[in-house]
Amino acid sequence: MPVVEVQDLRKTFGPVVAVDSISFDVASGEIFTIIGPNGAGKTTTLEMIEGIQRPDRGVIRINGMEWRKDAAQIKQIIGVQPQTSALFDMLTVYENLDVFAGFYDRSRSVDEIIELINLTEHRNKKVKALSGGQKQRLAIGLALVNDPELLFLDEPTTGLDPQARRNIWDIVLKLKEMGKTTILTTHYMEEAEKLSDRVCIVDQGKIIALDTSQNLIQQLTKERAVHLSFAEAVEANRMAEVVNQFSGVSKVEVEANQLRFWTTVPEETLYHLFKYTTENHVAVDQIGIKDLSLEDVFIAYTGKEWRD
Amino acid sequence: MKKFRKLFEAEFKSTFREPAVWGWSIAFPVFLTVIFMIIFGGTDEGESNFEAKVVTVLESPNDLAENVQTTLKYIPVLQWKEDSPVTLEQAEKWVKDKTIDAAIVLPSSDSAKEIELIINKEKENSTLSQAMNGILNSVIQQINYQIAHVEPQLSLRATYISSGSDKLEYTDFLLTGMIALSIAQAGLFGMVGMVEMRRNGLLKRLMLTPISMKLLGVSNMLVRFILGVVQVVLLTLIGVLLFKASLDVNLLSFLIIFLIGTVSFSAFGFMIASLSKAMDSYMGMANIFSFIMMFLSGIFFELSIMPDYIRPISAILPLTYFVNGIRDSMVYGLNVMNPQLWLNVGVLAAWGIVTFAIGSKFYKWKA
Repeated sequence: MPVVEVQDLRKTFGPVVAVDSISFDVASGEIFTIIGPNGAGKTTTLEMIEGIQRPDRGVIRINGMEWRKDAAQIKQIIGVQPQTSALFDMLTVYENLDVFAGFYDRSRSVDEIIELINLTEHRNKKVKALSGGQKQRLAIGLALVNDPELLFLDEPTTGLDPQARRNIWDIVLKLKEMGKTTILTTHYMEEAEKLSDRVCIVDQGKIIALDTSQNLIQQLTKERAVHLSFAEAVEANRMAEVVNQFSGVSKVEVEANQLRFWTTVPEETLYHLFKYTTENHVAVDQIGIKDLSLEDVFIAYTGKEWRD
Repeated sequence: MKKFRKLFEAEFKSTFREPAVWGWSIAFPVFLTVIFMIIFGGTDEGESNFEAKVVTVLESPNDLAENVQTTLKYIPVLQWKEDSPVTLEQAEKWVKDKTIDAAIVLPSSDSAKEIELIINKEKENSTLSQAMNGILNSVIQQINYQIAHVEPQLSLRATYISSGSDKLEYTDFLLTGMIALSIAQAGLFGMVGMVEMRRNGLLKRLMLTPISMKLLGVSNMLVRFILGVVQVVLLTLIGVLLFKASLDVNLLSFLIIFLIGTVSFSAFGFMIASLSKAMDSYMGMANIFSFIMMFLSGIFFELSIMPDYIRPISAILPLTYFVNGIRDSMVYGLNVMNPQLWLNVGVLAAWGIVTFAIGSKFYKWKA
């Protein structure tokens, strides 16, 4: 049985359709990422599953339970880190965790959590004295006090510097090792690729793609971009003419001594390319083959540029 | 129970670690009370209890002068610089340099008819000059009657009474007013947390946990009671120790009015919170209500000095009834059998219920 079942979810705010016909399942132990631009409906979807917002239509089951009937039990087994880190500012790190732990039937050792979120040195510091990244880690810690089966992390790294972001990734991956199921939202493509088992791309309230990030990229196309640079522009131009005649090459671009082309059969194209350069003594300075990223997937599906 | 304990702990620490709470709910009322007490209450003993330092002057001893001197010695408010008469020069010198307040020149012989009063010119229009004149006049009258062997038929006895008890003095009035005001203000302004917690998401975060919002409300009220007790104890101590307020406390009546007042003004604050989107609008509204009540509810001045058209407004304000209840239970010591207490409790309860209902209807739990 999936931990979370979502069927045909819909939510409107006045004339605005925030979420429209969203359905998915999340399996136990999975990190499931909902990604999309700001205003795509990520947080609304998450809040409906968390029981904070009531959907206009649709079914939500958590471990087979529904909010309408089993709210008290569901609250005991979920842990939530909302988008804005909401904490008791005048309480210390330890006190915040201790207070929240007191709200649940089952709780995890506060010291263990402090170690997991890497705030041992700051355990007796008041929240208002913490940095943004430390607050965010504490907010994740608060989501762990009841040792939940299902964890919701709503944009856990938004607004953090790269170092703080990597700290949080480490925590999320550690939680996966502990067997937790996580639903995560983000608008960082890199984060989704790095952490998720499956990615759900949402735009304008609808799911536009849902699969593992690798599959999403592979489904999109097998085409690869190849980039070469030569000693002189003359050679780049000459090679452009040569490459253009290979089969499988779709597009060729030259800019000064730089040559860029796209091919659906990269191995074959490169074999012919190097055969030619060796026989004709053309010196290649640099070569690079670019993998496609989720960003390309998003652009391909929506026709929009990705903006962080 | 564990949930409640933890929630209470969090609210208690959050409240008492907040410098603004110490500033506005504790230091400010104390400061205000001290200032008002100094300005209006008066700590100067000499103002309320008249005393004057005097000497007599006698040029040649005679029976009449001795008679006057003996009578004067019986007047309790006169303090004697010298027990026996001094010379005129000496007395005038002392009056000039204010060593004494007045010098009384006794008759120079049995047939002389004059008693002269010497007072510094600077004090010509002061209470001292009036009082000394009054005292000497009645002394002279007494002696005249003695000489003429007449029994006076009429006498005057002045008794000053206050409306409820003979103990009410302005210090007590002001102190109890300030106590009521600070409890009311703690309620009016204290619910700003409801706006702030909604804004920063803490309220939403708490709703994600298994605790109920009722539990949050109850633990919040308990913290307000503790804050209220701190205010009452602190202000009472200042009033009694520094300003000699004399209180007659009926503890049970006080507890009843204190509980209902704290709850009722918190409900009022909750209503303000329900009508404000942000902290600024909350503070604006709380200030308006606070100012209206501060001046129209008889905190600093008796309601009887208000113009007639203001009185109907005073008669509906909750603080009017709260301050009456506090005064009845702290100054007059009225017990729970007094119907006035239950009128005050009833009006406050009505305010509490109405404002809480409005608050519940309009308060948005989600941002």
